[in-house]
This record gives sequence, C-alpha cells and structure tokens, in this order.
Amino acid sequence: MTLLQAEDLHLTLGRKEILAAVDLLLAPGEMLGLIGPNGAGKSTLLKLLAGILSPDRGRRRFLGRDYGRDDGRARARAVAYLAQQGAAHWPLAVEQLVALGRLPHLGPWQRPGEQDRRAIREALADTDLLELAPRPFDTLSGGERARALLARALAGEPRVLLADEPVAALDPAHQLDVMALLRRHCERGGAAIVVLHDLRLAAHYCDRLQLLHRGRTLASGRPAQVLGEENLERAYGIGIRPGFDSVEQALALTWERRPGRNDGY
Amino acid sequence: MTAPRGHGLELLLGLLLALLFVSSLFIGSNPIPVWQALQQSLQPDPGVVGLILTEVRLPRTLVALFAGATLGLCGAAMQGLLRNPLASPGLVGSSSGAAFGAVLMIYFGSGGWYQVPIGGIAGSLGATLLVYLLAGRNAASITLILAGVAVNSLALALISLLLNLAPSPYAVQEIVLWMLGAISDLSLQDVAVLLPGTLAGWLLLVGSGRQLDALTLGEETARSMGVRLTRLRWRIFAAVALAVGSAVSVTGSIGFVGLVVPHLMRPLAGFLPGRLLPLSALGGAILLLAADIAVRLFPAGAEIKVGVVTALVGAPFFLYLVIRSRRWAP
Repeated sequence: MTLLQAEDLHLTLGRKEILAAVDLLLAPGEMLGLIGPNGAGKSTLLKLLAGILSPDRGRRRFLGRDYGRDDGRARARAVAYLAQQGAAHWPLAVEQLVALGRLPHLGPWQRPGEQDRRAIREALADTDLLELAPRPFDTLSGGERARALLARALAGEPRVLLADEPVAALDPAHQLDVMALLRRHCERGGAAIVVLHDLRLAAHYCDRLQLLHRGRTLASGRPAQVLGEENLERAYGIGIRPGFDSVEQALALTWERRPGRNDGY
Repeated sequence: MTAPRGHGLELLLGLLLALLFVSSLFIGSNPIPVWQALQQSLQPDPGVVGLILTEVRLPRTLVALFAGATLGLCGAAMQGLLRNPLASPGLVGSSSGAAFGAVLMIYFGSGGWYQVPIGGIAGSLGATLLVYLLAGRNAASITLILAGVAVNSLALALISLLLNLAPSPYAVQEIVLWMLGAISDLSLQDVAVLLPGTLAGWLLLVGSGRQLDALTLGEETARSMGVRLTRLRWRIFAAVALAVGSAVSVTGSIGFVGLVVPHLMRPLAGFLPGRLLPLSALGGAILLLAADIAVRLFPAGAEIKVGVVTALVGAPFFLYLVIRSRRWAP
C-alpha cells in the first residue's frame, strides 16, 4: 500500500525549471529523507506534496486518490506540512499556537471538543512543551519555537508529516530529540518526508533517501545505496576526507542523547 | 497570556455599548427630558423633544454604532489578512477611494442627498478593485500593501487636484469639512444608505475567523491547512470595500479607529485574529460612540468634528501602543 505517491512531477517557475520528472513513493511507517544541495528542488517538492503549489504536469495521489482542487481541507487532516523557518506572526500562547493544528478538523463554528483537547495535550507532551504552554511564542528560544511549530503539526494527528529542515535551527541534543520524535510518529503507523541537510542524521534515521540534483532524482533507495561516493561528489561536490576509510565511517552518527540533560531548554 | 474562555468579555463590551447607545440618545448640547422624549417619539405627532430624539439623536447614534463597528471589524480583518499590525481598513484604497468618489459628487453633483454616499461607495469599490488588480491574484502581502499605498496616494492626489481647481472658496470649505469626518447633521436616510453595504460587508466576514487564525502560521502553512487564500482575500477585500466605503461615504474620513481598536483589543483576544474580529467590532462601536458623545459635550463655538477627535486622541495613543508593544511588531 502507498500513502503518498507522486508521478512525473514537473514545475517551472518563471524560466527556471525547478523540478523535472520527479517520482516519489511513501509507504505507511516509512521515513523518507529528501536530500540534495541547495536549490535542488527539495522544498518545492515538499510544497507540491503539501498542496501549496500545483505542478505544471504530473500526478499527486494520497491513498490512491488524485489531489483535487477543493479537497485541501480534507487532505490537511491527513497530511501536515511543517515549513522551513516557520513563524507565528502574532505572539500567541504556545498552547493556542499548537491548537491551530486542529483547525482542519473544526468547522467554522465548531468549538474544540474532548478529542481536540487530547490531541493538543499529547502534542505538547511529546514535544516537552507542557510547561511552556502558557508562554507567548515570541518569548521562546529558537529551539523552543521549532518544537512548538512541530507540535502544531502533530496536533492535527496527521498520517503524513512533511517537514522542511525541521532540525536546522536546533542544537545537537534537540536535533536528536526531533528526529526521534519523527521516527516515533512513523513507528506508530504514520509516515514522514523530511528534508535534511545533515547527511549523518539522514543516514541514521531515515528508512529511505531520495537524492535530488537540479530538479531531478539522482538516486533513491536505502541510505547506504544513495550515499555512495560517486553520488555525493556529483550532487554536492564533496568527497571523504583523507583519514576516513569509507562513506559509512564518515557518516557514522557520533552523538547520542543523554537523557535528563538539556531538558530545561 | 491565554485567551479567556467563554464570552464574558464580549458580554461586558456589549453592556458598555448598550449603555453608550442609550447615553448617546439623550446627551447633547441641549439635554432632553428622557421620559417625555420617549413618550413623544411614540406618538403619531411628536413634539420638539420627540423629534430631536428620532430625527437628530437616533440617526447620529446609529451611524456611530455601525460606522465604528465597521472600522474596528475591518481593521482587524485587514491586519489579520496581511499579518501586519500597521494595516488599516483604508489600506486597500477603500477610504481614500470613497473620499474621492464623494468629493467628486460634492463637486459635480446636482445636490441630491443620495449622490455623495453613492459616489463614495462606487469610489471605494473602484479603488479596492484597482489595488487587487495591481497586486495580482497570488500576490504576497507586501505587494498588496504597496499597491494599496500607491492607489491611496493617487486618490488623495486627485482630491487635491479637485480642491486646487475648485471654483469657489465655499466649495473648498464644503469638501474639506466633509473630509474631516463627522456624524452630525445626519438623517435616517443616511442610515438607510449606510446599512446595505455595511451589513453585506459584515456578512462576508462571517466565518472567516478560523482562516485568519491559520494565517498566523504564514501563507504557505495556511494553504497546507486547506485555507483557500485567493478566495479569502477576495472576501475580505470585498467586505472592506463595501462596509468601509459605506461608512466613509456617510461620515467622511474618520481616522485611526480602524488602526487603534484592533491594537487595543488584541491582547484581550489572546492575539488570535479570529477572536479579535467580534471584539474589535464592539470596541470600534464603543470608541466612536464615546468620541461622538465627547464632541457634543465639548464647549466650543463650532462643534469639533468627531474625525478630528479620533485622530487627535488616536495618534498619540497609537504611538504609545507601538512603543509598548514593539516586541511583536514585524
């Protein structure tokens, strides 16, 4: 079974070809890492899947059904998008901000019910934000903001999480925390597509990687297959430093989380 | 700060509004005996105090109520849509467009009572449409703001041109006094002109609160949550053009209500743009009613225009708010 499927996506903005002939598959429980150099089209692909942009050509399907013009709200209940450097334009309390994640589930006059409150609480708990719930968003640190926005996406209880560089602004410990959180989301039957720049996190946490280069898929498959020396050199223009024997060694995750520390944020 | 649950705040403001509404009927440069006026106004052939109540005070009070609520509501809607605390309902061109249309009618019209309001509403719709077309369908907020600034400047320049070419000082005086913004000398006819556009505008905004809430997270995230941004923008633009156009056409330019009231109410709404809409409408009505009562009580030879008062009090107050709340300015 496939949760999310994209076939032959093409998008040109202005005269620049952003994406060409990109396919993508996402199965339940799977964590797919989108990697590639800046400008490769990763964010654009994610926006196409989130329904923010429309492709010039190609199909997008969720649970076998094509994306329609008017089904944005229904799809938003199942597919959540976490923007790169997301922001809140008003200093809402963290709790209120996270509650926005329930909007696709609520009619214009419907008041949040028991299930909504439970989902909000769980999202706050999962991201360790319960204590910060009443704090205005603009008084949070960068890492706390990133987690609050992630909690907003989780509060909608989506099947699929589309996260654009969710760990970019975080310290190493919180990077590991967020990756673990995404991992857990997938293990509970959800799935995620995560844009990552840190190849070591990508290799360690993702089931599958898709390497984009100049708007096309250069490689796709298990991390060990995708992160070959040749691919890395072609896409990123990087190679292994002298002194390291293999790509695996260079990509080994050298940090682990020590629980009980750095929890105060 | 969390938004208070329930509707206690709305209830409180509603009570205050009702109190001001009644006060506005009976307070003025000539105080009228309440009971006598009420009795007379219900009779088929009312006396002087009855007429003051129904023909002078009631229209004035109703216009203050509707225009104030419109300015507060539309200010909140614009600020929510553009996520810019400096956005005012006039930003889309509605106020200056309405002013230009109305001035054009004062200038060229034959003097029928309906001409100025009709010209105003037409000017408002035209200017708003122009902003929308200039900015383009999928424009970012900043493009909309810039287009609005350009169209506002154009409308003001055209008004200046008319003033410049005015045939007599009387015409200039009439235009300038109209532009100051006043809710005196109104009749129930004016209320009738004001109402359709106002109510249509309000109706368009009904149910848009949740979408404005989602916009807090930015346009892309809001889209990913199923908000149809182009449609929402159309709705709010049309609402502001109709409601603010109608209000300005009858009252002239009443400054700062649409800017200050949303600022004032925002912390009370827990910064939620959707919750801010009704609170801001109530606040706008309260502010304009209070300002209108104040100008009536002010001892001066000529009555000071309420638009002058709102701007005079509003500007320093706005400055204070900006300084105090700099942390959430963009």
